Amino acid sequence: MKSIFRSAAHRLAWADLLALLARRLAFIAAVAFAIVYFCFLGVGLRTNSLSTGEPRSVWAEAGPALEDTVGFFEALLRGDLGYGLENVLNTTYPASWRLLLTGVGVAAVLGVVAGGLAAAWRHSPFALPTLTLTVIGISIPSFFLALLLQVVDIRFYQRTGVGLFPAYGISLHRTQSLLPSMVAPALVLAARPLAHITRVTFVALSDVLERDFVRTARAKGLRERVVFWRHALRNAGVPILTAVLVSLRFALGSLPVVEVFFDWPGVGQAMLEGIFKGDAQQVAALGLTVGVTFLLLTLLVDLLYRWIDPRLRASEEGG
Amino acid sequence: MSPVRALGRLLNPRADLSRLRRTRPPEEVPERRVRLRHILLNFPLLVGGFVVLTLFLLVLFGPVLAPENPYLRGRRVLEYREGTFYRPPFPPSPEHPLGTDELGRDTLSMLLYGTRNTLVAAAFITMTRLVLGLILGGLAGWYEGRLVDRAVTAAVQVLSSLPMVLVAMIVIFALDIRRGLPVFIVALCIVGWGEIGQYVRAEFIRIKKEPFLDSGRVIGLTPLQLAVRHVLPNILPALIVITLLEMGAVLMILGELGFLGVYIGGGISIQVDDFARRQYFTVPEWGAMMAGSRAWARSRPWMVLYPALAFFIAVTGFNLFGEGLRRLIERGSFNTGVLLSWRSLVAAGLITAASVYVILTLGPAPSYRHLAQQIRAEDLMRHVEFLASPDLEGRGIGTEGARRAAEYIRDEFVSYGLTAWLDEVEVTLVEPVEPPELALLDEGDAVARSFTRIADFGESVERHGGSGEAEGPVTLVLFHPSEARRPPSLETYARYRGLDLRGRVAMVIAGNAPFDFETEALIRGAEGVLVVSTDVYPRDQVLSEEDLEQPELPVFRISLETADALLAADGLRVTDLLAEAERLEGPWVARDLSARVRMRVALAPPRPVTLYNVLALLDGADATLADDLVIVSAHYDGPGRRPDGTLYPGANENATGVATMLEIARLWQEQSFQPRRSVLFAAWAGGDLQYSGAHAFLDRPGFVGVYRFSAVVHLDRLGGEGPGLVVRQVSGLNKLLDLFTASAGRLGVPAGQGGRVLHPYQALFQGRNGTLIVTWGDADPTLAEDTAERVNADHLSRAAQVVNLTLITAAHEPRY
Repeated sequence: MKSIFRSAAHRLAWADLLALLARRLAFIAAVAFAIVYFCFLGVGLRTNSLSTGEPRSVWAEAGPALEDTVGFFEALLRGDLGYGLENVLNTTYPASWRLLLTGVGVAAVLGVVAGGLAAAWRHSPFALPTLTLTVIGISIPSFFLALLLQVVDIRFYQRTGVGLFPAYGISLHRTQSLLPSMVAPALVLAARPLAHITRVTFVALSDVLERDFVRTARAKGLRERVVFWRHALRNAGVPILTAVLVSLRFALGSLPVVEVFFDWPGVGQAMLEGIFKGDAQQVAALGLTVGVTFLLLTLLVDLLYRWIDPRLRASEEGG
Repeated sequence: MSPVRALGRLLNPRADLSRLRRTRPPEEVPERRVRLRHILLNFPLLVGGFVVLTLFLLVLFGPVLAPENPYLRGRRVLEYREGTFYRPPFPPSPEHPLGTDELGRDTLSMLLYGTRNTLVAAAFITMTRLVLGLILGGLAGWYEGRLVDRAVTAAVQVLSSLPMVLVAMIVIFALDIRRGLPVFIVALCIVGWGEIGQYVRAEFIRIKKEPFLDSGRVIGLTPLQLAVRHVLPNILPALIVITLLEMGAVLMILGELGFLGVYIGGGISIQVDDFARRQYFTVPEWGAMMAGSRAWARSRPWMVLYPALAFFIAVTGFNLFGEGLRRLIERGSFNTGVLLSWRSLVAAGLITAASVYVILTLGPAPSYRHLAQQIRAEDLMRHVEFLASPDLEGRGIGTEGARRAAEYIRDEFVSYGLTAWLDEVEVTLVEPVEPPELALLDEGDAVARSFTRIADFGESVERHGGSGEAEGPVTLVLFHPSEARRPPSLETYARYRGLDLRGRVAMVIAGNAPFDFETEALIRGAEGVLVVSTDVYPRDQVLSEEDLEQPELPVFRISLETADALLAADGLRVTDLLAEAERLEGPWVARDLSARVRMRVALAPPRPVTLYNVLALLDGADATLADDLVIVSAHYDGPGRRPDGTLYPGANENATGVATMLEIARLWQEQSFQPRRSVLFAAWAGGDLQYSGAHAFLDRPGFVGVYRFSAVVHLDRLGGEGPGLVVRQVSGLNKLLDLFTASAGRLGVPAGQGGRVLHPYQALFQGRNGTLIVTWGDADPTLAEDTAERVNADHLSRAAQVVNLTLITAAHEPRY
């Protein structure tokens, strides 16, 4: 009897999950349409105002942009990726994500560790300054850090004759490893995420570590390591995961700047180029891929929440 | 606990039970008042507050601290130091503590001036973000789960899934970057309200469920009242913190946009060579200073490091301040209710008013005014005294004096560093060999009243007009108004059947008479013709082959006063006659008057004369605006010495106009003011002529085709007596007129509309934004007494200031 109930509940959970997925995917499709429409509208308005010299009314451009958008998706459904999208998927898109994921990945690992340590010492006089430091870290503009890195690199080279890292662009010999040229841009991209994740981890863990169940766990005689990593960290998982996602957004925000500065052939630079050239196809293709990727990531994180925190599952099933 | 012990415990496999022994400190009762020690121990609040306060002071007083004024300073091309030439960008040096940019503009000055532009823009953007976020987030939270909520949530998702900088760029370009700050406010508000919106939404959802809202509902408050009076105060502390953090975020995105070459206004483009154009900013702003930084980052790091550092400091300051305030509020030791009191509202109002006052007194507009006011009265008078000196013989048209005046003006322009040249114009002039005479005779043919040439009458050589002598009674011929509009035809002979002018002097009114009635009068036997006109300046310039056609008869143009004097004996006036003409039944009527006049004029044979326009061109600094031409125009010659020996020194008319032009040119060059539009300083020759140097200039191909005439200001009689400036709009839009009136208002000089076209050339130019004739007072000067001593130096220098301010703005501002 008991087992029947459980399997029914199980099936219900899966059905719920599928329904949730379907709803979210439909939403993503709608947002994808909106993004492409926005790109066509914005770039179209600019091209027209440049050619006539007068700013053009949004309403005059709304119709043509819609036609373009529909055309874009029709082609997409026929399997014709178009020169824009194909090019994007092959070259710029992987280049950008390599950079983004490296940067944010490094930031996430370092951030959680740093935040965790700070939380463990939360009663020491170093804790509050750590929090203050993270504020300063979040405030570093990417262009400033990039400039600083470059200046430091150049000065170091002038002093010692040894370059720390290629401070400028991808080396022309594609056979060489990309890793050295990734150091500087990835560092710049990682800076603000690192500060943010550290901060959130610190705040969330400090909060959790003061909770009663942690004391209970210690009272049960669990090892401190187990208490910290399994009980406390998992409970702080949702805010930390959110922080990672938000950081990814930070990083995405400064991606164009970093790519332009370090001449990294990624999505940001290509999109900038598209905007300046007035190439709506290219901008739309790039916007679509980046936007959809991000929405899918959000969805993934939402599902991860449910895995990390059973209470979320329960509340959804209950409601 | 020491960090080492904490680390040890973390890595220790055994349970650490030390914690269980520790008792938690008793709950602190939050203190109501903010104690000084709370603030002093709050490091982020202190540092952040200091930075924010400093920035605020720089917004207000940055321009005072700046070594130079980047609004007026143009480029520095080369610098010579210790035997070597340097080209900008100059590295940091004692002269330029932070170096210069590639145009040689001082970085420190631009940073100090730019603080205001950047921070005020950021504040505006933050405020609009806050308002939009509050409204949309509040709506979404209040109507949780409904359509509004879903729409808002979806919008936030769309916005956050793309790089914010790029979305902002697309919006800014779509709305046209050249529209300036409003576009940035709209774009950055659209892309950035999401975070505030999400926060407000969550708070609304939370607070909506609180019991005190139910109480509010019970006593019958509307949703709006509930939201504003009960929900908002609860989230206010957090909102203040968020506003500060948002300020940091906005500054950050402004910096990133600037780095990518997108900044407020979009700058101007300058033609580097035949193919390349470069974009330069003209309004100092941190974001704009970041533009192009990538190109210079390696070789000239100081150029971009300092603006980037400014951004970093500002962003950090706001974020730290927000963090510190958050800690203060979290302690519960800061009662935000204080902020909603009347006292703090009054304080905020006072601070705002004071800030606005300071900003209006120190900034681009005041710096224009400062430049405009540096006109030197003694320089103006020096020019006037030279030009009106007896040596130059009144600078008569085509005389040696005029030529010397032209050379003087050119040399002055050249000494200021302008390109100036003499522009030769050939005209044919006729001169009377003896003073022409017009007199009213009494019964015994004795002269009852003699009239003055130029003031009361002037001879004309148009068509049959020429030398001759006439003495006889005057016959007035009056026409029906339709006659003047009738095209000349062969029927004329039949039309004037019965008109007998033999032995008489015909008098007609210009505008009332048909075209070329003089010829008809000659055919009908008239001895001479008097044409009543407002313009009686002698027309002794041969313009076509028809002029001075044989047979000749004296044709005089006489002023209204002269005509009234002739008509007095019959009790008539010109104005009455014009009214009578309206009521005429036939096409014309001839009336014999009782007045008898004598006309005499003897003209020398026509001779060619060379006139010299003096032109000086100041090239515009902006590639797109440099084709727009602002013309500063005045004529420099005058009647000169007449055959009877009278000298017309021509000080007020028009040495004052030329002096003003010269002084403005000197000042601009001395202060290295670089207008974006091109400016033509034109001192015309033959200003009194029907076909002057200006006419010839306009008729010539070349110059006119290259430039678009943006604004034209004719300077005339600027040192006259009268209550204030008189300005006449000749053609074009009202923009220049409005600008002129506003400039006069800013300098506290009275100005009114009125006046008339004083010289033929003034009606010639068509400035798109306006063509103005500027005089001081509208009384006609007495020509013979128009000496430099009689020029009102105070009026002249104030007029020059207003003209200067108008021209600075008209030449420099892309839109005004």
